[in-house]
Amino acid sequence: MGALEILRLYRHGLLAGLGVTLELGLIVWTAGLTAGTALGVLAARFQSAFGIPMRILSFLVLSVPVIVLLFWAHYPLQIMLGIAVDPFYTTAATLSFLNALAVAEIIRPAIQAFPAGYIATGRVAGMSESEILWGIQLPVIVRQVLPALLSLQVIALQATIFGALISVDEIFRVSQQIVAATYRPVQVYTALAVLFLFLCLPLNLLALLARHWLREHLSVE
Amino acid sequence: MTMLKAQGIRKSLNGRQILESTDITLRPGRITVMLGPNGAGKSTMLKCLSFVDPPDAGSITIDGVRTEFPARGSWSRPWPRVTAVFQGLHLWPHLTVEQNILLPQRARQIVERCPAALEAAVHQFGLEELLNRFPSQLSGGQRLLVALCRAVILQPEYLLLDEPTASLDIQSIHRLTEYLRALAISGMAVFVVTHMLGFASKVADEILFLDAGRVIERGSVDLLAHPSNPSLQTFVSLY
Repeated sequence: MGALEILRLYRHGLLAGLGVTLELGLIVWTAGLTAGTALGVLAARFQSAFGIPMRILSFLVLSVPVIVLLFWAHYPLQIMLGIAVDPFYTTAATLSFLNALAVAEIIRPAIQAFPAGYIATGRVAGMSESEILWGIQLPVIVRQVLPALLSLQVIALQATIFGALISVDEIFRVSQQIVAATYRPVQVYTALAVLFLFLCLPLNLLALLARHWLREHLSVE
Repeated sequence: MTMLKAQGIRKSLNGRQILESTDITLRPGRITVMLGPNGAGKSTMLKCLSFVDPPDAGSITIDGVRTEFPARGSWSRPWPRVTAVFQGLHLWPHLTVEQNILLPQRARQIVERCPAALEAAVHQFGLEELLNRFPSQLSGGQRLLVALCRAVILQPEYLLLDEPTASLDIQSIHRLTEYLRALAISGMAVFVVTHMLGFASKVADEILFLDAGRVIERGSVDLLAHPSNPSLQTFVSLY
């Protein structure tokens, strides 16, 4: 059985798995970017009350492998709390939490290192604080953090396959099931690799272009 | 009366006294140059006068409106009537030269009222070819001209410049001297902080010599030819 035949035969299962992967990815991206940005801003503005505790938490949590945290959230944590959460939501919550911490660690230093001279120059030019925020601070910071955020989101999407290990029926778990049924690991996993290439390549390319453009056009003092 | 008068300005940073009871008056049509060695407090003085980093004590009176420091409650912002070009120039890196000049609303309003204003300012500073470039694509001298153009188009009454010759070659310094003289003739009060004696002697109407946070000498350019104060004598002999 060739790769195309396998894809045709198992297309419904693969599409469903792809749907779960994309759904997980969207949740992790949206929650991680939203919460991470808020955390990053808070950490930059309230150094001692928020910034330092968050940095310690990030340092500790991001030192633990993702898969260990996911298993910990799926088994010990739920036993301790006496609850049973759908593995899909456990995966979404764990990866969103990690993504938010990582996003915050990109946003915080960008805000803290923002050159005060840009703001002072805006002030003496008669600009209001909101004009300075929207016209100077945000555009510069967004451009600065964009490549790192895009690369991070690619990693976050790839990390959704860990959900397979706690029985989330995402694309990797579906692929494993097809391999078990067809004994064609080369074709199935190659097709999976190509699929992830299509999903992640545009984001990686965008990050690469953004880095190149920023090197040319945005040299922050 | 039209003038900016700073009296008894004191400022300390990180527990160190930088300015000690300094008085300065800026008058329309005159270029006041503040000289002094590194660490004398020149840039701090400029930041105080521009209200970006207000003084700890003293007062600044602009055209009769006096602001006491430390200010009780909010104080009226004098920008961009008083504007400044800081030593770092701080061109906004995400914007082209034209966007840098036009980002402040006041600049847009001026150009809307008089579309030739932008063209005139750009022509004055020779920036026609640079309008679509980003700051990172400019030389040090070009960046200074853009920063000056961005400040001048706001039609300030008081223009404060911190070490404007820092990244300039001799020709550019000569051009800058001419620009500043033209601005003073148009009625603007110009305040320049520098440690370049040659530039100061060519551009200044009044010289202030700051040392260890105090203005210890003031007078015309002749002061530099015949310094009486030992600190100024040393400064003149070294620079």
